[in-house]
Amino acid sequence: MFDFLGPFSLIVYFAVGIIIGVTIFPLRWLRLNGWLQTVGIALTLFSMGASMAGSPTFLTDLRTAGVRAFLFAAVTIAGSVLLVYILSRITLPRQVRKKEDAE
Amino acid sequence: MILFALGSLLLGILCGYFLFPPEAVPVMDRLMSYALMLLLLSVGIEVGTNKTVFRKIREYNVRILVIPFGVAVGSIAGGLLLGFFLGMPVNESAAVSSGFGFYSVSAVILRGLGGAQLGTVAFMTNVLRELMAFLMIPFVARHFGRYAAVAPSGATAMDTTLPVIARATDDETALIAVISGVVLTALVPVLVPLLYNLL
Repeated sequence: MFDFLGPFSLIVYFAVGIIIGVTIFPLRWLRLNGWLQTVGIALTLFSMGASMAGSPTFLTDLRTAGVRAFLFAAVTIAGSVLLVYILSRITLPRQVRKKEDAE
Repeated sequence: MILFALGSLLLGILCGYFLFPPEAVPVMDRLMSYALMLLLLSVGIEVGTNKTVFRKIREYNVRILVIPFGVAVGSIAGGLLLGFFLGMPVNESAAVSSGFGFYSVSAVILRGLGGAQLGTVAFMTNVLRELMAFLMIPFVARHFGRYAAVAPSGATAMDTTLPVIARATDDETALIAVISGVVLTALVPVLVPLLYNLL
């Protein structure tokens, strides 16, 4: 719907959600909203997996670039987690609590 | 959460490979788009109902840019180190690592600059980064704290992996993740060709 925004198109839904949350959303529905997110994450990952595996080049891509790509993904994640962890401990306020701990 | 996410993904891969006809791919893509729209709307609602989160975000000021900066430098440094061990040219390893999970753009740019093989590596690297981020965010949040939980996502922190960040951390971190994702998304089309041509 907001394709003209290119890679930023999905942010519109987040912004609309914020406006709904600030203005009209009843707080007693927050638990339901949380369940909706869990179902949505499962649906997203299921469809992402099905779409990838259904591609005719899935196995070829995996064979030609698989190991190298896996290593690159792993080290870029590790490098960024490590640096953000160090920088955030120096410059940002400490964590108060995690949602999972609170539930 | 990790097992739940991994189970959903594996079920999708198995269905996509063994069960669904090839015509199901666009249907799955559309399903993913709708699921994401709904998810982001839902995360936005959760953030919007938390009245203190916006005041807190303002208190961070420019320090909030520490996270996208850390993600960008950490990703490229990790990629350069791996490239050294794999015997890859410095410009290629730096450019592949600076896709930050934004697979469509980084793969297209690198296919044009370095050929089909490099484009495929960039595509797979960034798809796998997004997938691994889904699975690792809860673990990273638990063991390295909420700010570090934004890091695996890279550019996808503003859309696809945002719901997982929001579930594993809190509303304030979800908003920080969006800002980090926006900055990194804007950096990808600049950094990928720049690093490929400069190094």
